[in-house]
Amino acid sequence: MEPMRTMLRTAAVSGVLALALTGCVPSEPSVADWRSSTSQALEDTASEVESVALVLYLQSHDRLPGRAARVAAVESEESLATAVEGVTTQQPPPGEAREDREVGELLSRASDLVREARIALTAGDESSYAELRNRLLDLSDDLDTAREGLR
Amino acid sequence: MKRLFAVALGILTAIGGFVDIGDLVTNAQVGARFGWSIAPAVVVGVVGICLFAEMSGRVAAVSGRATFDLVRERLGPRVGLLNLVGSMGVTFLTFIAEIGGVALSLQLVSSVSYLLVVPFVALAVWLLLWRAKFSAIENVLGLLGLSLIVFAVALWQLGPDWGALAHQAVTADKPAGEDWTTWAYYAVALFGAAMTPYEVFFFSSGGVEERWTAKDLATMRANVYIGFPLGGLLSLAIAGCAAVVLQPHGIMVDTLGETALPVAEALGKVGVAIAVLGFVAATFGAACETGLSVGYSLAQYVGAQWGKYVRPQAAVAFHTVLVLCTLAAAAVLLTGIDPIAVTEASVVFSAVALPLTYFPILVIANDPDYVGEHVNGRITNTLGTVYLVLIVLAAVAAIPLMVVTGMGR
Repeated sequence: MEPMRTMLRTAAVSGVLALALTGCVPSEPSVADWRSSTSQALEDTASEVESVALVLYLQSHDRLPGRAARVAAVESEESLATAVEGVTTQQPPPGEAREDREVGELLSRASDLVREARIALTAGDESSYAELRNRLLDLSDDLDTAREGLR
Repeated sequence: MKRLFAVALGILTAIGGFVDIGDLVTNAQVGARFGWSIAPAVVVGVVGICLFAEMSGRVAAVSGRATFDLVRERLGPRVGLLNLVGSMGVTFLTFIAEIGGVALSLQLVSSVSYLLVVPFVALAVWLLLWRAKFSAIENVLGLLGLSLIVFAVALWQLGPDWGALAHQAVTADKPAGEDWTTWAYYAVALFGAAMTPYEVFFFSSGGVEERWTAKDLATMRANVYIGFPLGGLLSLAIAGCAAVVLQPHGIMVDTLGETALPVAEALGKVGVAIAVLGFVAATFGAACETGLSVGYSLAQYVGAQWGKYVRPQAAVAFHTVLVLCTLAAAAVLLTGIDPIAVTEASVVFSAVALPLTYFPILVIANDPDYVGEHVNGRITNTLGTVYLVLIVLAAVAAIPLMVVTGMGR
């Protein structure tokens, strides 16, 4: 009876250890899953980038109250952070390292640019709105191209 | 003005059902992704809620008793309890979301984080539920909620291609990039939102609060046939604005701020100010509606005194439930949970709870012991049965669709 109990205890401890160790390693999705979730993140990011570009357009034409514009920009920045985190914490599957690096760079550009736009809106720096909007729209095109490339 | 006040209950109830915090964002989200191709779900929902709200209003007017009160008596405590748990759970989730919704709306004008505003909103909602007269709540919040008509004006001002929108609505012509499963998920969500259970509980209890009798059946029907279609119209206007302004940019709405952007484009700052007033009134109204509905349902089930037409000292259990619910809602929101995600989930769970709500109403509206000569006619019963089938289909499909689509992603 005693060896049986020892065996069960060893198996249980091994199981818990194995679960703990595998839980610490980032999951490695299949190529299809990685492409699908990355494509979704790119789409979400493009949506937030376009949203901030629209806010800048409306603000520069004096059609949106300043506070509402700032709140909309902050909300877009937060949503974008969530989308970026979903991708950057994933382990890319073998053979997708280059795509992963390119997507990471694009998402990083998006985060920086949306942050820049939010700072300009909060500071009321109207002179920079048109240039920021153009850069956001260019970035949105790049995000769409990258998403097409993943299909 | 007196005539407008007479239909305020229907307007307030419909605003809660069609344009509360979750619906405001979901309608814009749906418009930005699917245009008006999901409009048939809203239309089917409007007809369904008119059908069952008329039944529950008729029962309340003729018997002088609210729906929950009768469900327990007519179908027994077990069915009553099932109904209570299912619908009250969904209503409480919505109540949490609405308090968060008021705070999110105020955030748009104050730029103060909504989490800091939540305790004050909860206090204001409770004070209103405790001190204000029922007629004051329905008249002020119901009519201020009409500010959301600004979305219909904005849509008109944007000058959309009406033919294309109508074509999408009639043929359910969804964009090529979207799949039918996601379309079906949002269709069920909009149908569930239109027919959310607390609407009939609130509407029938409101009828009792207003002391309707059989003589008031015409007023009750005016409330139903003006209020709910108006709610559906607002829902379509919000979706239409998003389809015209946000869809071409590929903006997928997930915040209240984005919902207001089309109004800014069409009508500028004044339009946005009116829209935000509408957001505050609609979410505040829905918070009062859902808070009262939780209190009504529980008090009616246990047979305790309820309502705002009696003094708080005479309805201690009812008011204790209101206090506890408000405290619990504020506590849940202060964990940082996203109110919009809560209400989107509650809309789907609401679809699951629909049969528990509407089957008993159909049974009671056919019972001469309660409604005498005012029992359902043949057409009403045929439509009611067709809708019960639809409701069961929606209830069965809701959770699988939510899982498969990842909540419509």
